[in-house]
Amino acid sequence: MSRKSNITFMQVINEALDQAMAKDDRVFLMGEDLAGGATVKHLAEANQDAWGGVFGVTKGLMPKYGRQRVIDTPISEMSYMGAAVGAAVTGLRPVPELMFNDFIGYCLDTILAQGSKMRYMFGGKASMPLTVRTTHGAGANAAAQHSGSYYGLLGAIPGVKVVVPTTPYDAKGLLLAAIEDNNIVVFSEDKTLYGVKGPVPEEYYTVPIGKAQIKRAGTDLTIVAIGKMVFVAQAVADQLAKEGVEAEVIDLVTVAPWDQATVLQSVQKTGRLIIIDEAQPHNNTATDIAAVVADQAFDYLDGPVKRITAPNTPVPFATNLEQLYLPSAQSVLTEAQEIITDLKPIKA
Amino acid sequence: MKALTNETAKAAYQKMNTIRDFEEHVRKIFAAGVIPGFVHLYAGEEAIAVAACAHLNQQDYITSTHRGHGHCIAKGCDVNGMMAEIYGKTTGLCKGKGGSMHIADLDQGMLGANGMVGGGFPIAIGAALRQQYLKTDRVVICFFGDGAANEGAFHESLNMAAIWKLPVVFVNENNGFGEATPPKYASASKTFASRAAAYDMPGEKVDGKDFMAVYNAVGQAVDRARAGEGPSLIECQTYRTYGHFEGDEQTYKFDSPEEIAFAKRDDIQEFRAYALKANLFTEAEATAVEDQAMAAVQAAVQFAEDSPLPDAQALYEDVYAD
Amino acid sequence: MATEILIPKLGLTMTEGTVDVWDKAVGDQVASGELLCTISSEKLTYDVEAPAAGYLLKICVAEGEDAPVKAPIGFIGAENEAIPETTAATTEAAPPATAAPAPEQTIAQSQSEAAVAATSRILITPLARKIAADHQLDYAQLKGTGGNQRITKRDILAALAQKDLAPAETPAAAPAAGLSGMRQQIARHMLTSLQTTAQLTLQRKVDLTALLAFKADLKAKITPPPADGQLSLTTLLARAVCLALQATPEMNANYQDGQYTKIADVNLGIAVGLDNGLIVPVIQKAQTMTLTQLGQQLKAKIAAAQNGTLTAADYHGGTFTITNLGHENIEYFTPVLNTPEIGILGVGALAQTLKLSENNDVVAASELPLSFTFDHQIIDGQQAAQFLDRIAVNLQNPYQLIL
Repeated sequence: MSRKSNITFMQVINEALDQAMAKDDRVFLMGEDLAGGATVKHLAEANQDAWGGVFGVTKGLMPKYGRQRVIDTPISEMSYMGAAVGAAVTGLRPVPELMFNDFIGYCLDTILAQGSKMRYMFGGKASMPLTVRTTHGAGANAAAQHSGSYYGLLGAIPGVKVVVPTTPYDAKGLLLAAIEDNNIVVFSEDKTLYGVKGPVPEEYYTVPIGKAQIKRAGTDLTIVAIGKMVFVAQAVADQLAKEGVEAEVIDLVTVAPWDQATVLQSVQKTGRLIIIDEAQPHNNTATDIAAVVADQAFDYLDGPVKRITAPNTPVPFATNLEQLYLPSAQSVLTEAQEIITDLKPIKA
Repeated sequence: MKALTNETAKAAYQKMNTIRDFEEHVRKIFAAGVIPGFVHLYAGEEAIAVAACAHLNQQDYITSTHRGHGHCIAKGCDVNGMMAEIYGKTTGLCKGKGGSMHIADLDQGMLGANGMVGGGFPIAIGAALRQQYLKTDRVVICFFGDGAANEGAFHESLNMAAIWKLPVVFVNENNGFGEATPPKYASASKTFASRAAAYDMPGEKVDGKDFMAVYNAVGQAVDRARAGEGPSLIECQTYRTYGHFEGDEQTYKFDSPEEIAFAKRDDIQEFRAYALKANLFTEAEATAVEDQAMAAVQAAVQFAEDSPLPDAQALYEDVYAD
Repeated sequence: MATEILIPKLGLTMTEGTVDVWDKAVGDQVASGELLCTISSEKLTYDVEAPAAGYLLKICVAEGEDAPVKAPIGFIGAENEAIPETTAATTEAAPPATAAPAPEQTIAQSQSEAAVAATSRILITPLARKIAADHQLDYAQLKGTGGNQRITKRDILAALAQKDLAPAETPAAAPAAGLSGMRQQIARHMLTSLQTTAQLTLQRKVDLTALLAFKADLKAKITPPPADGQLSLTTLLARAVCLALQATPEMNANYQDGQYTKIADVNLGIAVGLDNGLIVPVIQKAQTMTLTQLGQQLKAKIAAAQNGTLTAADYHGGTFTITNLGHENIEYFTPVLNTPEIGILGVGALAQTLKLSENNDVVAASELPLSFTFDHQIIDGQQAAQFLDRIAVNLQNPYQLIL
């Protein structure tokens, strides 16, 4: 069943959580102020939540499912994230929310040393059906401690899957796939995309984790991008198309384990690669992609692999600086100039 | 509270002996270089794990520590599988991929020894939350040491367990040293039990060498938890017979005559004497149980030694669930 | 700066080579790619071509001398150019130990790589390098249009297109890849032969009845009986060919690089099949030999070929070749020219037949099928037929063979 109007990224997350909870009683949410106003009498009497999450993403779910399944926790990231690990290993399917991925320091142990390793160190006997929802991304003037993009850091941990949805359609399908998955899946939402609208079917569906998506086919140049950088990649491709250069745009979708086959196939076809990521430049997803391509597709490379990322700085507050911090179509065209320019006259 | 019957007393005595024999053997082979890795021994603390777990059913959960062999045996883990795990053999409870610090057996409700000090707190919260969520009457015991009591997770987890009245019993094993440092230095609280007041939960400190003291205190706490009345904190004062790890010179020990006297107390011998006097079992039964325990450990050693090493392929397996 | 002429490494096991013949003398002007000398190693011979145009300034390794692989055997440079002091001195004194080590390279690559070494390294993408290698394209002189002026796929494709060489096309110039030793040499030689000549084969049979009778008659009368193969069919055939070549000097020649050269001596090659290939020892000045000398030479050379003891000089400088497949019961075939020679005679299996005599009687006869390949660039069909007929006449009139 399809619906007439497009809905926002944020509404889509809410809808996916709602459908997952309706489908499976073992699915529950836990985090800080997912409902808000716990124990406040007048809210309880009216069966209302206060916030529905700091961004309002989970609004309405507590009234529908009750506080036992939409659990407001104290501001105790280690213990509620660890509790999610404990609940998952004992058979529930928790979906904890880490309000900002910048808070991962408080609770990293529960993912790094506990949840991600249990299956392996217990000899395959444990499963970890745990979906950690969190937010990342600069562009909201949230400054250094609320704007980082740490999906790459989490994706470096064996046993963890990390997805970064770009479109409302993917957000729903990937979140439902994550909740169905029997591993820790970090579902990292770009808070600046929450207002983006797109066509999304009303019914329950999943989008495969671990599969990159070719958003635009091209023969001259491959652009791999993550999250909202896919829109930057598409803008770059549009610009290049006017000049006779056909770029292939790949939405990586899953940061860990990322889809090597799709990326390598594309690079084998085009010989040139630009990676756009708004995370920090070093020891990261973009560096990993570049390394794998240099190794596995060396003889197909017709130019250096260009990584267009954030600079190696924290996220600044001032609007002009923050805009400068994020890769843009213009910065991509400038920084990757040396593998773009020579494609033009020959094509034109 | 489960009354201590002749049968349960005998079973407890057998587990205490099994733990002691197990640890003494591990100590010996570690020194001989037979087993790899880090080893933290539970010898001398048997009364706590066995008395606490005597109140649990198979479906109840425990979280453990890096000093976890005793908890495993007390909760019913297979001794063969444990020994093979410590030997790094494929027949180990974790296929040889966990080792001493990560022995786990989910079927027995054993959620894993844990290499992270304090790592068990939030996991116990999660397991307890599960019971509440699914409306079972199962309970969770969270074993933790005096060192872990000073991790931030202690506060977060006791607080959360209390506000949600989770069915969890926090059993503190104060064995006198967090690594090489005594709690009188590391903790501002006179006792860890006293911290329970901050979370408005019952807190009690007992003699951890005294099986019955632990048995009674934990028994009451487990009853409360099963009844949905929330968590408790039991501090068991005991003494770490050996070093933090095997190979530790332990130069920090025996600081006072009182400490030396306390260290000399043997929880197993004390329980034996108590049980004989209380007619829980006879001298002959005790001897038979001791023999059975020793035979089980020897069989486990044989089993471990005879078992194959993991295949190379195992390196890559079980990172992700399908 | 003078360019070194190096002994190429022609096989995995080759450690040294012998200079057989210098085709150029010091002071000669040479074009790039022109034949300089022939070297050999074990059963291989190899033509060393000039790596650059200029003058042959110096010969370091004389004919018949050995030198290790990659050692310089001579220098090419500008007229009267001085040879670098150190290189010249050391190579003269002790080439193997102190010669400046040259990079491992094939003859074909040496030119471009030498040029590269003189300037900076070439910037080229991995993909472009791979395509260039696949098509044996020398990219040293290409101008890169990619970032940092690096050569990209497009530059290589453009260069290939310019060479009128489609990328998918398999290059024809390198038949030796994957082969080794003698096979490499044969492969190269056969392909060169077929690609650079206009070969045509004439076939006819020759009645040897009289020759065989003559042979049997002689054998019976000579004491002690001939032991040097002087009356073997091969020897008699060789003699018949020698005589025909002397009578037809335009056939006794070489044709190479557009240059046609008649040769006074008949240097007769005899193809000898081996387990792993084929080799053609040459009997120098065969026209001067008696049947006995010819028989001795044939016997010796064939044995040496089979034993692998031929020296390089033994198979150099042929003017005509005889090849025989009669022992395999082949009648007619199309022999391939042993370039730069312009004629080769293929001998088939001697057959007993019945034919009509001059008196229209049915008589038994022995007939030898012959296949003669010639280079139609040089020799016309009629000339060739007449030459073949001379051979036939010689064989049919055996007394001429002993004159």
